[in-house]
Amino acid sequence: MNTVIVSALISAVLAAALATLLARFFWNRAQRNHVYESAMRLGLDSATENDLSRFGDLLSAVERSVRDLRSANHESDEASFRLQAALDALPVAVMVFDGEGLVIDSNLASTPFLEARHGDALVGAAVNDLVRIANSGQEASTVIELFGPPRRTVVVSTLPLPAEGRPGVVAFVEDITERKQLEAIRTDLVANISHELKTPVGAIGLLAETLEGENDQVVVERLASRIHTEAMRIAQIIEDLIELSRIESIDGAGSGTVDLNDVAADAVERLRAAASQAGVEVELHASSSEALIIGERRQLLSAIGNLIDNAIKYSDPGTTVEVTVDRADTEVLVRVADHGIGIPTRDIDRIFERFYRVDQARSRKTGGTGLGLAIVRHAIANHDAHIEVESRLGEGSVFLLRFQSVVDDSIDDQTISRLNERA
Amino acid sequence: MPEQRKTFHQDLDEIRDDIVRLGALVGEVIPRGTDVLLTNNMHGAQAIIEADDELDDLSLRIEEHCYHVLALQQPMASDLRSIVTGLWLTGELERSGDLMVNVAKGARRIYGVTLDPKLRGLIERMSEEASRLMKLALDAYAERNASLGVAIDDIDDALDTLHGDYIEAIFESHATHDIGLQASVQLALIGRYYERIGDHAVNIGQRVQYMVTGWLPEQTGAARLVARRSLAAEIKAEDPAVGTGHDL
Amino acid sequence: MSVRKITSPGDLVEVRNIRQQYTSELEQLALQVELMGVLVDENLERMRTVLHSGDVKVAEEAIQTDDRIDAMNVSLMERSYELLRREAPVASDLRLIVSVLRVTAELERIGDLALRIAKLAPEHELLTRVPTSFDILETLAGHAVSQYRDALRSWSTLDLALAERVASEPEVALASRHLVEALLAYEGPDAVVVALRTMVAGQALDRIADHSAVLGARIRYLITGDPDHLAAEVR
Repeated sequence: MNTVIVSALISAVLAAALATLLARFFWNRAQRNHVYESAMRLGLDSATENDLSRFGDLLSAVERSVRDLRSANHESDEASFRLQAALDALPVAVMVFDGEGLVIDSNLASTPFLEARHGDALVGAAVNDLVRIANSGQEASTVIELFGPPRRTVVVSTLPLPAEGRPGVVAFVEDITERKQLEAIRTDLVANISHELKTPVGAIGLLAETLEGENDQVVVERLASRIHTEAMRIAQIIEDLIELSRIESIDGAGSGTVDLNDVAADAVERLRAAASQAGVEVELHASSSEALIIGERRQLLSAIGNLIDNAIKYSDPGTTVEVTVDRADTEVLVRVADHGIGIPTRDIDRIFERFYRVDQARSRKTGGTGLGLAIVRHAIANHDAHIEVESRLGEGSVFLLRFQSVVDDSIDDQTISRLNERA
Repeated sequence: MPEQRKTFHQDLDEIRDDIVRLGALVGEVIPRGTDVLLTNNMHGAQAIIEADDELDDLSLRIEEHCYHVLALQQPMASDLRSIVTGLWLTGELERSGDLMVNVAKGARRIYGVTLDPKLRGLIERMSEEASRLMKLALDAYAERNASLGVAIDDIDDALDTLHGDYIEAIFESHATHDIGLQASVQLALIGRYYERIGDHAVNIGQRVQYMVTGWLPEQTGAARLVARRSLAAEIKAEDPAVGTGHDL
Repeated sequence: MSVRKITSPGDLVEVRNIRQQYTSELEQLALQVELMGVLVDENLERMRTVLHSGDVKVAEEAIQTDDRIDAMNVSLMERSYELLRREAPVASDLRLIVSVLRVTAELERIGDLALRIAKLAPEHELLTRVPTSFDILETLAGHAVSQYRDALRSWSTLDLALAERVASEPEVALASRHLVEALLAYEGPDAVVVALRTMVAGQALDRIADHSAVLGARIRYLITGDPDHLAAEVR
């Protein structure tokens, strides 16, 4: 009696399970036929004990099939996941649109342009415009200059996708700001080098020519003195170029211990004359305890000296340049602050380039070579240190150098090994 | 192409997106115009003057779209407020764009004049402040953030202070004969344009507050009037000899 | 969309409109805007008095009147909303109601600017220290107020030519340039303070004229329904 009820229940459950499975296996004809035939042969509505035992085999077969199916699904899931992850890793925004111009797929980099605001909204609008063009079968592309801030250059391009029935468009947005900057650095460098070197050489040639036919002793003296000035200028540029290439070739900063208080004091002392000539006062605020770092004294002197030299050159007479050495946690900070003319925001990112000039006229007057800050940047990079600039036109500039400090005499092993690795 | 009938909410979304885009155009033209001014870039000045057409076109399109929605749909309370806010905002944004056109024209008029670093620095800062205010105003709008909208009025004080410093710097420069009379006048006018962009941002902020809460700054004035009137009525009731004047 | 020429405020309403109440409501709305405009006009007159004499009492009156202007602005806005919601107006009716919303916003701004100058009353003496700039300030005020009056008149009479003239008035911009010139020529030790105050007043007057020009452009659009006229709001 009981066995009849149990077997009926079991057969009902199995029938339901089978039906579900049948539906799920719809795509797999062979499997479906197999299961279906088995069920038919079983005559499910009149299941007996005997029938049930035969179900065991069937069930295990079904279970096997479910496993296969799951793993097949899993594989395709994994493939699409991989594809999406690959797209998300791209630095280029990729968006796929349907024929109506609606987004159907996009990668991570495109997030800023969907439902965007400010500059990105303009990029988003350009994408939509170009998608419309591409939907009519034509490739399209445009370059957008954004003033931000930050200033950016992006390229938007769209391509019609090969359509099988349903049309579609793929859109790319690529930020080429860095590439453009590198190009600008390269082209400007060539122009600037030739300007910096040609100008004094040309001047010397011209002055010498005039000197040849000149008899007036006063004029001769004046011309000679100007030739001397221009020659000094070239000598200074060459000296700086040598210093720069020396620092560039070192790549590292040795393992000596240097007290930045000493270095700063030395730098200030060397520039004392230049400062008083410019009518600028240089104040040094040393840290109360030793400011020890691992590094090379000569490079550091060159870096800090160049910063102070610049600060003096771009200050108005009667103002003060402050040089401060400070210790904070695990860092030693060197701060060079002036109250001079300041740097325009748009130029701040570029002042460390070789021969880059914010103001050509002014820098010729002050006699800078245009290499000082490039030297600073390399020396600082060699020390694994950081440099920060804050500046306002008409208010002055602050250059902040941040070094890893050496705590007392127990030298930080990590710093040493890192510096050794590089050296 | 047969235009599919859009749902009301699609319309509202489109209007919002377009206003965000209009705001983005304004946000872009502020630093661009300043750059033109500080670099004596005459081509750039011309480009800004011409590009203003795009801004005008878009604001006109938004306005027409608003009319269209008002006529064909029957928006209720808060949606209606969004549309009317949209209409107001296009006006504020479009005029801000015009002010930067004025800056570009001013740049042309002072072509060749060398500005001292202090003036340049102040122009840079006024520009940054104006575009910051405009961005905040647009954020408030896009996020429907009423408290941010109201806060812009306070943030605008910084721009007013900068403008004061700027006028002072013009005087200094003029007194030391670094810049001539005509250039000083142009610079003073240019300073005002930035200040007015700030004012427009404040207006946008207040409109956003209205869009979200239904509250206008003028309602404070209106409420004061009501309070005064009822006070006058009370006094009058107590003593018929007082309070004969209207509105106290 | 067909564009109908309108020659008087009554024409703004569809003649065949059988909803008599609606029609009179629209007329009322247009009339109320005019009343608000008159209040603003009164405050502009007070502003000129304060500018001329520094009368603190008149300034106080102006402050109180501004609350009434604000109240009218709020109530006009509510009525416009009510009409938009209830009547779902089309064509010229819609144009009228939306114009009311935008015109009242401009009027309210003009009122605020007039108040900004009236509030300078306690510092009035500063404004008079440079006689040439003070003269220009008064002239500027005269121009701004008359431009505003033309704008208001073009609303009541729907005079297209007048609205057009108001929309493209150049006079004030020129006067404000002279103002800065006069200030720069002054060399007293208080030059900067005087200049800053004077420029606050000058700028407010400048903007009153500006808003009046926008009113002109708005009214021109209301009359013609030509969206090109809207674009011409650009100044």
